[in-house]
Amino acid sequence: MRNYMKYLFGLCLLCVLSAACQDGDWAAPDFSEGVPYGNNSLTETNVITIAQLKAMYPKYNNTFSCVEITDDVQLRVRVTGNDVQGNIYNSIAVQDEQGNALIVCIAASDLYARMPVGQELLINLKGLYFGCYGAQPQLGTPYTNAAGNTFPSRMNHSIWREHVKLVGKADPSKVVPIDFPANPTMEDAGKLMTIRNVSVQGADGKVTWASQADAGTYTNVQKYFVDMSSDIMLYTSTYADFANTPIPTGKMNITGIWKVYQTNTKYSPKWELLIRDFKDIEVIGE
Amino acid sequence: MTKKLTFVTLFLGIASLGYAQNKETNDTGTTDDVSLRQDNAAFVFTESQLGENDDVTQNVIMVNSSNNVYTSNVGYLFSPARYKYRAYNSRYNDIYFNGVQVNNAENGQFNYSTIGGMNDATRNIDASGVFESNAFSMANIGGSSNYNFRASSLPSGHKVTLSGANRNYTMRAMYTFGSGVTKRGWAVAGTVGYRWASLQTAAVEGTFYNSLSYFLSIQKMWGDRHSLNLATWGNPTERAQQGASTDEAYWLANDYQYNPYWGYQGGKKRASRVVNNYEPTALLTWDYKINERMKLTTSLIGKYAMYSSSKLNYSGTNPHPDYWKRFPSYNYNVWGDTPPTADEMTAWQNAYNSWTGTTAYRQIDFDMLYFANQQLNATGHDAIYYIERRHNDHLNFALSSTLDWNVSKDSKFQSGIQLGTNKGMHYETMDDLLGSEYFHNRNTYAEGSYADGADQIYYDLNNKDGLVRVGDRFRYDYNLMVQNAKLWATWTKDKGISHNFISAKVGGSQMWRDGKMNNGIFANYLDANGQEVKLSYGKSGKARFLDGGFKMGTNLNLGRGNAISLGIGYETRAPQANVAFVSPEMNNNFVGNLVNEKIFSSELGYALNCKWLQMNLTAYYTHSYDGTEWQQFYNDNENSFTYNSLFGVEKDYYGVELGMKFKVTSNFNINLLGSFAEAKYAKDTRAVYMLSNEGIERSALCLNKDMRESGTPLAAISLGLKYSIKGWYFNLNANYYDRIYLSYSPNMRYSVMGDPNSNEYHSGVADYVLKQTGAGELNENYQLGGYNAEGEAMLTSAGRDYFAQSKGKGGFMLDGSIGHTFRIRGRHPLNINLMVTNITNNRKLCTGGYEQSRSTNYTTVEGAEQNRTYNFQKNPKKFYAQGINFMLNLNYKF
Repeated sequence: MRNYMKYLFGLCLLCVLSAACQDGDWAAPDFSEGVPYGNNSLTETNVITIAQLKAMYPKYNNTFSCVEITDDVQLRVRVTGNDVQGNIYNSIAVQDEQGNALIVCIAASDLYARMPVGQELLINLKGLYFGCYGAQPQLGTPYTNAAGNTFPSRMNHSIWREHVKLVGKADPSKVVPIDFPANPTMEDAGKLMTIRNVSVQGADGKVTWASQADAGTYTNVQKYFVDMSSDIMLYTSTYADFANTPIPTGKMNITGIWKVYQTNTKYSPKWELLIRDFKDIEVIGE
Repeated sequence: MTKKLTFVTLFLGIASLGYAQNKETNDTGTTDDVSLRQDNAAFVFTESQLGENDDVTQNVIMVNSSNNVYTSNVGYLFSPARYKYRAYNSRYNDIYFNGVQVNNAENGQFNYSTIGGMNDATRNIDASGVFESNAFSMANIGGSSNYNFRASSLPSGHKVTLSGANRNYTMRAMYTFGSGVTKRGWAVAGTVGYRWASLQTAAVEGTFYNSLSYFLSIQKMWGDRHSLNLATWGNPTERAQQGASTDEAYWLANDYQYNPYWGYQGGKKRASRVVNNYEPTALLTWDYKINERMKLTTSLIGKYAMYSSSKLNYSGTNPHPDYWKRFPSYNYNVWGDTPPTADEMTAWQNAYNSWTGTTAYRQIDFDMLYFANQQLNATGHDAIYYIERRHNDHLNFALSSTLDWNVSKDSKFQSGIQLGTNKGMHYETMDDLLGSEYFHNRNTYAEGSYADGADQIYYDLNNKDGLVRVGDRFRYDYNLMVQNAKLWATWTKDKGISHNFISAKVGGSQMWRDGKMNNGIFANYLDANGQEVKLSYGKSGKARFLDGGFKMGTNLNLGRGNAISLGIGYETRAPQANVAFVSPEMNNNFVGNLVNEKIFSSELGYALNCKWLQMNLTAYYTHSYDGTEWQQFYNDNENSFTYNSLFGVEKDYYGVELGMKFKVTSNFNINLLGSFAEAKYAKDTRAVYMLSNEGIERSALCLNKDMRESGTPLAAISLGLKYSIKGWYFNLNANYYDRIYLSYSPNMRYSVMGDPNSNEYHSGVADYVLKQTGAGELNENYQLGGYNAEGEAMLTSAGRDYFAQSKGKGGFMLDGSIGHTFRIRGRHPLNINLMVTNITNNRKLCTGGYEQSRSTNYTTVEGAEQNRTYNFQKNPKKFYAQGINFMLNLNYKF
């Protein structure tokens, strides 16, 4: 009997020793050779500013326009806005060192998990399209809407990944909003700006930023500021994480991406404030 | 025949002690052939990863009633096609260890993998057919089996088994010993085994297998009256799972075993779904021979089962490689008549090129998931990709006592009592944050539907803002308590040419939930009297059930080897705890109308046993009603989990089974087996469903009439040849399987009943489809206009056709084995056996799968009905049989 037990014990021990765990702890991958997003083979050559881009392709300057970028030029920009809480959809806002802004349209979700605010990007512009949608300068690929207007719209994600390289680590501290000017110009379109000391019309502690009831058959809700021009508005998606959160009743400082919308130069441009994140709302008092 | 049946009955009756004298004395090919075939069956049963629930690796029934050619062969023979006996759910098959029932107390099923790898210890099975009496129970409608784990019943001596295979595991080593019974009445037996496959060697890419098994049994006998046996076993197992995918994915990967559940991390393969399972068990058995005619067997079992399975989850873009938006067919309607535009064709081609270009594109990109989480980390955001681990742990105790009384030489009385208590602990933990440091226990599905900071977005109001770290519990945490008691008795009587039995049982059970998280959508509150209403945190009310039933059967020996048998039964069964709650992950609510299921079962058989032919022909009919079913799935349409309860389920099971064994010569047999079964819903079924982001119970009628039981061939036929000569033995089986249905999606067949403006109106997928196709009587609200007296939807035949269940392709499979027994030093037998399955390499045989629960049509915010380009209904997820595969076994006894 003792012999049997010896055999059994020995075999148990052998098996236990050999039965090492196969799904052990996994160390994080090493990205020192390049991150797994974008085109790491891009190198900085012919970097221009957004102002220079506009000067090189003056045909962009129209309410609706779409121009292919044929020159071998690049932009070095920093992400200022993205889809972190679902209010900005399929696009990111970027600004260069000079503070000029663009919207980049990309047919993908969770862009904030690839390009967070503060992430620097090197964009190879050749082959992309530059133009305006409702006077808002954008990068993308051509799309013609039902009204017959052609403009740069959401580019395929794989195209974008070929044209972009992430530079360094995201540094949100480098992204500082400026104040929304009293008289905004087209140069302000797409910038990260803060409007100060405002309250929202109809805010009663119950009305939310973008309920589906308010949106009706649309997926966006426009809200206006008390005692301000109706050309300046909050533009919020019903898909935003804060869509069903009540709008504070008091005064606020609100930061966000300001997009311009103008279908015809006969009319004054509309300025739409897209809140990126609930943290963009600062309540300053009743 | 009577004599034979009496013998069988007596044999079964005295099995508890009778087995103690069993010895595996036959070292020739025949016995080993049988045991190897059992190995094969056990292999497929225990390691197959297709099941309706994650912790039931295979929803199978191992029937092995030895006096029926069909049932004694069908289990292992059809196992490569995942054959289910009579297409029953395995909760209709009862498993006993030394007389005590061990089916999972919550779902009623038995997980064969918990006794995997200890094959030599699990050969002594006392199997009872549906209408056979036995010494341990009133047999269930899918049969009952009692495993004998007494030390004295294991063969004495040593045995070493080494196996190699290109299946789920690559290598297996087992050692078994048995002392036999010593002069002092002691017996010790045990086995240890190890089964292994790495990510590099497993037959299915991206899986691995790592399992240690042990079994030890010690028995002490005091004379021939008392015996006490203690057995303990367990098999800590770690294995990676394979996922089903669509035919398009199999085509693009050019591999019918394509597995979307793994990916590359830093260039190394990593599995995303890993099951850890360990159920240390102890079983104490007291056999008491009261007198020459009366025996009492009492067993107490205790186990702590730890089962968990990991899963890659996300709150961002779906990271699974076979996500529908990644397929070429996402780009244009490949099923339609309209040719694609140039842009669509380009997009299709690009997707095709990506899929076929590299393996990495077809698998999970773990590097990207880490990168995304790290980017989010840098800005203080929660991880959007993580590996979660769902735990189903159980602490179980059960006691049984069985009296076996030979009243006279032609009558017998058997009776027993079963008591059981089970604490099921269900919770989810964080397994890997994939490079992130932040994660909060929030209901991301509900975020956006409620105000920022609202209670509803928290899974646990008792711990709202705590960070979830690796190993922490989140999302859900609850216990299910089940207690039951059962009393049964069987009376067997032989009279003239008849052998008769009648069995009856009565039982009681109670169950309740004990929530450990105060779910924000179902927050506890104080009622007008200041009493706390425990919606989710704390104990629910108790549901109590009384059930019972009877069955009776007779065998008539007509002489000259002819016999007919007849059996009927009726029973009520308490609902299982796993279907009793609407959403056990969220709240304490029981399903409304929770009542006992009722089952009528019947069987008529003919047997012929002559010198050259043994034949069994059986027809059966079973009708069940008032059943309850439950399932949950992630509902892409609603961006939320959906919990579905079907109640008042009514099903019909009927069919014929044929088993024939021709003895051509003393060493050459031809076996013919065939089964044609029907197993389907008898009528449309009422349903209640709930979305996890809103917590409202909604009603629907599920148009599931005629939906078949899935994941099994409902038609199968086999022709087998067996030949043995001079220690060599050869087997060849040609099997054909057909009528394989996929698991239907109830959600896709919901018709909304009621006012569309009420909260009932949400997702009547069927109604929209019927309006589009004009295949049902619809009112102006797009709803089904009429129901007949039975509550069935008034559908045209075109409507029924539209909702026809998805099927898999059947086919032919050729299996063979060859073996030989050598004598080492003229004494010790060395047995070598090679089993080759699917010799003709038929890789297109579907073994099961499920329909996708997402609708192709949807309603826009504007209220317009639209169809997606990608057609979910044309793309069910399937599993296919492995191509040619082998298992080589060597065993040596000394």
